[in-house]
This record gives sequence, C-alpha cells and structure tokens, in this order.
Amino acid sequence: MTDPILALKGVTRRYRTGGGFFSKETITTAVDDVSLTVAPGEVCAIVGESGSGKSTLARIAAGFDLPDGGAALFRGAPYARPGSAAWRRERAVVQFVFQNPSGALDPRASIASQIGEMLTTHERCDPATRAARIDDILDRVGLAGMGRRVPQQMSGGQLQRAVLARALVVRPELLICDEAVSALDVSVQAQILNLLMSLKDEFGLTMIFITHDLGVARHVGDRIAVMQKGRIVENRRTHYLFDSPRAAYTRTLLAAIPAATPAARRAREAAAARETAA
Amino acid sequence: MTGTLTLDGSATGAPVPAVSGTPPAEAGAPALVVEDLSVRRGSVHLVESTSLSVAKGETLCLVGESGCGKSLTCTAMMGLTNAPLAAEGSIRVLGREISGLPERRLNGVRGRDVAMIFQDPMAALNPIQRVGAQVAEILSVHGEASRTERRREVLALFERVGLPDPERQARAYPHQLSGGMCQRVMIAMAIACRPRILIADEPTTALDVTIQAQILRLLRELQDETGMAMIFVTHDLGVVAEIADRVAVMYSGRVVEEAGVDEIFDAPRHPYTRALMACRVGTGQPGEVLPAITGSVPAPSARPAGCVFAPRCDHAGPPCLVRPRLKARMSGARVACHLGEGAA
Repeated sequence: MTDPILALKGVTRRYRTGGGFFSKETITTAVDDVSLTVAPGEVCAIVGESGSGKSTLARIAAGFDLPDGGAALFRGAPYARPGSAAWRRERAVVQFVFQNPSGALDPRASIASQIGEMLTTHERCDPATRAARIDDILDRVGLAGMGRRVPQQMSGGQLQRAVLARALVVRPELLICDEAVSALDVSVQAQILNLLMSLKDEFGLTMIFITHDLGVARHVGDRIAVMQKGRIVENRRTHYLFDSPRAAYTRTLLAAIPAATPAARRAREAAAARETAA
Repeated sequence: MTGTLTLDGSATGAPVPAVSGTPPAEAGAPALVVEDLSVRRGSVHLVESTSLSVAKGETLCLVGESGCGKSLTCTAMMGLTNAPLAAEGSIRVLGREISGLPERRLNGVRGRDVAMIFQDPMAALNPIQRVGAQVAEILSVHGEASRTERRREVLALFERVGLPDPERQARAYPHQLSGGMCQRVMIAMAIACRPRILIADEPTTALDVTIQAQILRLLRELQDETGMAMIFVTHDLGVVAEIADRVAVMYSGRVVEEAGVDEIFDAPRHPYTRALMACRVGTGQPGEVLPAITGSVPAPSARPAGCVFAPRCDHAGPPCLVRPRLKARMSGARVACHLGEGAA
C-alpha cells in the first residue's frame, strides 16, 4: 500500500457563533473527529447536505484552516501555520477550485496574466518558458488563443476552465474542488467533468471532490465519504456505497435522488404503495 | 372551485396518494393559456413568440439551461414584466385576458387566481417581519375577515405545509429558519388564497436533496387536493421525472419541443432535448466520457440566423439555415426542428 497523499486524523474544527449584543455565544462543531486518507491518484468525493461540514473539511484538507483537534498531514507532515513563509511554499502543491469562477478571478486582468501570476508566485521561470507554459495549459483546458480575454468576455464554463488552468499550471499534487460544477448548466457541467477526468489522467492528479450532487459524486469518485453533522457516516468505494449503503443517512440520501425517468418514479411509488398496504 | 384545501392532515403523516401518468379526472379545461408571448429589451427578443397552456390539475414543466427565458416567461405570465423589459402577447387566466390590464386589476388576479413561488425564499421574504405576519398580510389583502380568523388560517397553512410547531414558527423571522423551512413558508403564502394556478420558478434548486423530495411531494399532494394547475420551472430532468405531466423545452428564448413527460423521456425528438437527456450525470457508467453539448447558449443579441441550436447540433445541415417553426407531430407533441419533419 502506498503512502497516502493526505491523511486527516481525528480532525475537529469548532466555531464560535453568536456572542454579539443580542445572542448568547455558542460553539458549533463544524467538523467532528473526522479521519480520512486519500491515496495518490485517487478521487475522493465528499457528499453531504448544506451545513454538514464538507466545506470546512475541504479547507482543512487544503491547509487553509488548521484543525482545533487532530491532525491534517500532507505527505506525512502537518501543514504549516497559515500565513507563514513555509505555508506559502506549500500553496503550489495543493490547489483549490471554488464553486463560483467569476468570484475567483480578477475581473480586470486577462486570463493569461492571472495564470502567469500564479507561475511567478510559485516558481522561478524565464519569460519565454512562462509564456509557453501559459499557452500549453490554456490549450489543455480548451481555451487555446483566449488568454488575452478578461473574465467579462467569457461564459461560465470558460471561466471555470480558466480557473482550472490557473490551478494546474503549477502542477499541483492535490486538487480540491469545492462544488466546482454546481453552478454550471448540465451541458457545461458535462464538459467540465469530462475535462477534469481527462486532466486527472494526464497529470496523475489526486482529487478531493466536494459536492452535494450524488450523481456527480458517483460519476467522478473512486470513493465517496458521506458527511452528516460534521461526521463521516460512511466512507466506501463508490459502487459498494450505491449498491449496499450501510448508514441509515446514506440510504435516506439515496432515496431522495429524483427518479431517472417517469416510469422509474411510478415503479417506486407502486412499490411504496404495496409496502403501505402490506 | 372543484377541490378545497383540507387543512387537517399533516404533510408528513398523510399517505402519499398514488399518482399515475395522467392528471386527475376533473382535469382538461385550460387554466392558463399563453399565446405568442414575447419579452424584449429594446429590439432584442429575450423570449420569442412562445405559446403554452396548462390545464386544471396538470403540471407543465419548463426546462432548459440558464438564459433560455424560463423565468422571464413566468414573470410575464404574472404580469410582472418591468421596464426596460416589455412583454407582448396574450395571457388568459381562466378564460380572462390579463395582458394590458391596469396594475390595480392585476393585483386581484395575482395571489388569488395565480400565485408564484420563487427560487430563493430568503430573498423573497421580508427579513424584518415575522413569517406568520407575512402570510397573514396576503390573507388580509385578499379580504380574509378578522384578525383571529387570519391567525387561525396561517397556523392551519403552516401545519399543511409541514412546518413543525406552527405556533412557534409563525413568530420566527426568516433568518431563524432554514432554507427548506423558508420555502415552506413561501408555499404557504402561495397557496393561502387557494390559487387555481401555481407558478413555481426553480422552487427546489437551492435546497438539499432530502428537502427537495419533501417539497415535491408536498406540491403534488396540494395539487391532488385542490386541482390547481402548475407551471414548474427547473433545469433538473430528475425533478421533471418526479413532477411533470407535460414538458416544454426552451432554448434561447423559444420553445423547441413540447410533449407528454413519458414521450420526452422515452422518445425525445428535438436534438437539444436528446442532448440534454444524454449529458445527465449519474445515469450512465461512472467515469465514462459524458456526451456533452459543445459551446454554450448564445446571448439573445447574438443569435445565429436560422435554427438557433444548429451551431451546437450534431445533425445540422443546409435546411437549418431557415428557422424551423414549432409544428405539431402526429403524437400531439410539438417540435421545432427540420429533422424528421413529415415523419410521425
């Protein structure tokens, strides 16, 4: 067994909420004693409903946020304290893609310059190499020749491609996608998922894929971790999870997925009616 | 009115009635008919000569990607199109023409005959008023008699939409409730005056999948009880499979296909409908390459001449330089495509 790229050991993260003039301070446990390992080349999907703690877990996995308890180990070592020099050096190896691409890009700068800035921040390279690397990555995400555009001149799908290009240009080892396709229309979502899957093979990427959409999780994930109220209630290989869910909450989630066809819906309802009658 | 809203059975306890593919028996009479509806900004048509109708007890789903004009069609049907947008065409609610009616007369139609639920309940509710009072206000505007009467009605409505502990929830402010709870309040508000037509614009898109399932079940139960007609906007074909009787697929401001829900799923005719069906995630094998549609929906100001879908269509050919009209096929479906014209 190879060493995991990322290991979370009993990670806990609490937030203080309230405590203003009107309300009593309470402590919310967003992530509660979570352990999870991600092997090289693996895609681990994390699913859960809003407020389940999946985004907090993603931030801890990326080293953006330190846990209050437990440890987040990247290649066996804990992340450096956010803001330190060592922390900035680590930034290149773990990249993060957010839900809203237009919020993640500078509206005034061209796509190429934003990708270039990523390169100059993390690597030393001469202008010619830099230009070649930018062209290469734009080509791979399907934005060849569009480097001079600014975000306003691009569609939602193109923007998410640009965000991916910027994340991948520094050749990260771990890519964390937090609802990266949730805001996109189905046809564009399919384009981006296809792109992610092919880039994953090409770059040998390890990925953590946070989504609320079980269909997306099933499509991309080698493994799915189901979160509820800050805890992982089930964490198994994708087809096992779908074929024989163990946790009651997983079964609830799977049962709530809308039917694939009206015929499937009627079959489900007929079965439920028989069960009620019996 | 043929059905009355029963306010005793709680949403969670009541058995789910078996729903078949056909609408309830009293259905058939058109509740809302839209003819040649256009919404434009200056000379740019955002919605182009759209005709739709929905019968009593029936659910028509409007599907399509963002920017196809689904929401604009809904707001136009409510007479809510504001400058700089302008709506043209005929909208008949229960046989009565409402386009061109003065605002004061429209207010008698909105809420009472036609009600609407919006996607983001947090944005649609007043943040500094208790939710109970907001629902009570609807009742008072539409002439519900006394204060105590209204109060009783609000609590009954909250109970009906499955809000636990109605007394307490009625005193809550929107920020104290979850998204699902707020959407239930919106539904309570929409059904407060027992509308004959309910327009729901992506009512479950912002909600978690378990809450979505509850809301869809609730809407179907309410429809069975009251026989209201529903126009339901969504981009999620799974939701369509759950709730639709009939489906209209919109692309770049036009209806490109309209058919019964089984036909849409089993034998979609328009290449756009087929492509939408094909690129759904989670229906095929995990990890396989999804049949994505290349490109994206054109901006209304930059629509190509001829068939608007042609640049993204695998079957496009010379006839597609002429814009296809929405034509009825033998099955009763309407399709706007040159492909297979003349055939069944």
